Amino acid sequence: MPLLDEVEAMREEAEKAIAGADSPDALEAARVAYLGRSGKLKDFMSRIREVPADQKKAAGQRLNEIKSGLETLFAGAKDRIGAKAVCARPLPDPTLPGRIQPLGSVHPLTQALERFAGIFERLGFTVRQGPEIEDVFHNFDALNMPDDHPVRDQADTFALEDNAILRSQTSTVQIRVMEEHVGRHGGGAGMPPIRIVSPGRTYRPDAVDATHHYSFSQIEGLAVDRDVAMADLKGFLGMFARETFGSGVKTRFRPSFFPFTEPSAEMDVSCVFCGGKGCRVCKRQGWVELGGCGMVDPNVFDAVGIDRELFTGFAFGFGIERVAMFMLGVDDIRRFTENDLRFLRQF
Amino acid sequence: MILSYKWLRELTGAELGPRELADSLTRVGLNVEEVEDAGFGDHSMNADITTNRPDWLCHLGVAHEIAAIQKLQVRAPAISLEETGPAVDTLTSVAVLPGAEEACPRYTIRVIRGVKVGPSPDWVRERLLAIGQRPINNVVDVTNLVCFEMNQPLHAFDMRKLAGGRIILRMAGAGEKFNAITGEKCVLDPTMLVIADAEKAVALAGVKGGENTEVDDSTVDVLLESAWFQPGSVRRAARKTRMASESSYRFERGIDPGMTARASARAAQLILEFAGGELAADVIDTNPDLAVPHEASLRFARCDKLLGYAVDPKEIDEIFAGLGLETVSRTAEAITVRPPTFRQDLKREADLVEEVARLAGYDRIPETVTMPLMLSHVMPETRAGRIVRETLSALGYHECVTDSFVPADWCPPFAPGSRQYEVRNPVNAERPALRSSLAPSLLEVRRTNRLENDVRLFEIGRGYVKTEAGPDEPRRLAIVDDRGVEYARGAVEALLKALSVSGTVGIAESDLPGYLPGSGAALSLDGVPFARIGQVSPGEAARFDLDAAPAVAEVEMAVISSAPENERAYRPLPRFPGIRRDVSLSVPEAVKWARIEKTVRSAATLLDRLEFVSLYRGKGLEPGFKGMAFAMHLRAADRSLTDADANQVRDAVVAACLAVFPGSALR
Repeated sequence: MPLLDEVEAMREEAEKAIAGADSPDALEAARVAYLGRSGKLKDFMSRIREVPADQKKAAGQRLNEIKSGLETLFAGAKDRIGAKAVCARPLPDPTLPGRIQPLGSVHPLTQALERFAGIFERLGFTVRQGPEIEDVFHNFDALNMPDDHPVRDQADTFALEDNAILRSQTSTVQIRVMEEHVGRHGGGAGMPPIRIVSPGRTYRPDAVDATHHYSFSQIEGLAVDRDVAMADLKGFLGMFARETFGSGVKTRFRPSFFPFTEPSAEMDVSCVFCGGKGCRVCKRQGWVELGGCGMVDPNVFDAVGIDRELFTGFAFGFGIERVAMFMLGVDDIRRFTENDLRFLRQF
Repeated sequence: MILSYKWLRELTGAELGPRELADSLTRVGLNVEEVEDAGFGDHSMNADITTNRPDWLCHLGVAHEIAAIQKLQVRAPAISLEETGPAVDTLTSVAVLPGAEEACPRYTIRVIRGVKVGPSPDWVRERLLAIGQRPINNVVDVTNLVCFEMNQPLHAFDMRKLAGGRIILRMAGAGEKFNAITGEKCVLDPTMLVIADAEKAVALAGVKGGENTEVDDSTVDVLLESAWFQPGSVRRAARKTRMASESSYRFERGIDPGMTARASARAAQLILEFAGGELAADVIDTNPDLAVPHEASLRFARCDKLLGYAVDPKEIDEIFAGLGLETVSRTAEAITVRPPTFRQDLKREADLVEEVARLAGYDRIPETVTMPLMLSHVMPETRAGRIVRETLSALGYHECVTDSFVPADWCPPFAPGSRQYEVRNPVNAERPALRSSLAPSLLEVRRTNRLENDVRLFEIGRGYVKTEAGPDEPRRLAIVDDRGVEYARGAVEALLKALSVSGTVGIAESDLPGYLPGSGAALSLDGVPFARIGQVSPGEAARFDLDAAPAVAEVEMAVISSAPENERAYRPLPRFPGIRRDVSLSVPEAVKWARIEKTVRSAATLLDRLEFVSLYRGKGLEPGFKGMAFAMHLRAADRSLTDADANQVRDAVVAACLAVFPGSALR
């Protein structure tokens, strides 16, 4: 039998041996017999001189092909037998519930607040805080709410000693930030622009029911610059509304009155639940009131010493609870301060 | 404010349906919230009137707005009087006593004698019912009707009940008593203006009439008051006496000073028509010239700049004309106008800009952002708040938001020495205090969730503390953790890590009255105290109905927010392997870990890291002893340590511990 025929017979034999091996030992025996240092393949390699000179090259190539083929088979068999060995242990059940340290939660009001503040931060507004215990100047006078004027009716306050009160709106922070800014830069030509949002707690002595609480959160915004227009106000708040409620939301601005802005507006957004057709959530109006806004009243600029001719500004303020209740479908404002874990875990 | 649709149509001739009319008013800022069928073929429109527009508190004022929107003419009722009686000043007089002039700049009187009091005609009764008013009799109904037509509160006195038949305006005497027509009784003070006769107060000016001079079925002669009272003075009197009325509501917002006599004439005419009688000639008027027209200017360029789009000056001319603003001067750049006296709100350029924006429509203002880019900053407290929330919620803590008001006895055990504020007018009388500690609020939340296990809570909020320098509002983080003090401390330490706080944390045993004695610790950062941690005392746990006392921690956010951040500089990794040696001791119960740590650190050389491993109590230990195990990770910078090196350190540490803690032993 010519050498090459013998070689092919050996290959078949080896392939069977590898395929038939069912343990690491059997496989190793097969490897030693055929691929080992004194195995059959090695033996054929040394007998290659028996081949006629003109066929030597082809025979050598064939032997190499067979060698690498057998090595591949061997590696495959090794994996097969190894896997079988692992399978002897029980399989994991991938449908079992995952194991995890219990996660906590961030309060839904904070989530709403952070979400709103975050949008304005991306638009260049810096988050600023201010005191909750205030004086009459910052809570009323500087905001163009003179004593003995009915504008103060909307903002009855909690009274502390020494004429201190609890702020009834976060607009107080506008005043404090502007005062600080003017103190540092002056309120004239050299004053850099201001862009802030101030989230925080406010207080009004209202009776508590499903939609009212004597303590609630607001987010207030203020932009002061050389050429701020009401169109900018609409532009910024429009972006805010679309980022918050989705790109399809529509906005509506209605004339209104706030002592610290002129012109003033109420901002409505189309109801996200019915798309503006009118439903239970929006009380069939198709619109939901988001908050108040307007152009900073010149009297406010006077109160803090900013040049009312050089600068213009806009301000806005939203009640966080009301917007959060609307967005999350919460039906009672008291849920927020009750902190029932069954409620908190939902968010 | 309830408006009658039918009435508004009569005054304007507007062809709009009730809902269309409501929508068009809402678009210019007169927010109509509800439209209801009022019966008698009328609709009532419930409107929310902002305080800057007292002129909208009457139908004539709203009619002016509708006329401006719809480009119509207002059909104001014509007034023609038959003054057949003697001159009014022969029948009565008014005296303004010194001190009362400021509170009453204008007072007018008309007298109608010989009236026959009875029910009003049906149309008057229906109209009053449509706007939510109760018809009374043909004289009183007229005063109400004219008030809601012209925004001039009027008062009719039964003239025969006026002692001396004349009017004296004076400030009330201290302690002077007054019984209102509505049955309320109150005590007056000298800041309040009263309308008096020769003997007694017959009305609290601008607020309420007195029961002593009320018009009733027997009334024959009527003295009709129409006045302009100083808004602040009416407001103070109404608030002090808690007798706010339709009248005080209008006076305090500022009514039209030019309407006083006109409204009086209109009412006199209607009384004659409904109740008969004879009108005295002329009117007593203390100040016919009170209404001084004012002017305001608008620069077209400024208007465009504020609104953000160009409004054609010709359109502005039309808007102003429609609103009844009389042009005083007009150039290519600016316009100066004289508003009607009922538009006291239009004083400044910004006010006129709003009129342009309103009537042109807010929808016309484009949504464009032309302001330059500006970089925002993240303030340290903002950053810290966010990292704390992220970290603690990932560690299983639930954030709470609780009331700033608490019962007065809640906080002192957790904030001894802090003076707390109490509000003078609490809504919830059981909670008058502003909290000086956040811990009790979270314990209350723990009670709310008493059916839950392994509860972990936190809140970031303000404490409120009274100091010599004024109010202090430290921002605080409070933690409640069922698992115990070491977990609360672990959470605080995790926060320092998450915040990359640099500095050395110190710990000292320190209790608060609200803690279980011996369980408390005070943490400091480079010597600055920043946190208190302890287990709640049984007494405090009982206050909140808790069977098991959780751990509480309270952290000063200002310290950890403003602490310098670690410099994130690379330290080369160790070149040589280290060796670990574990030691397990039995020590007397009184020995705390902090002392063991101190002893180990002073005795161990080559100590790279000291790790607490476990605390054990129970089998195999003498009573009064506990097991403490720790691991020392030893390393040298310049060589591989040998077993001999490590054993030498271990032996030295064990010897030191046994020496320092009498009774202790190696386990």
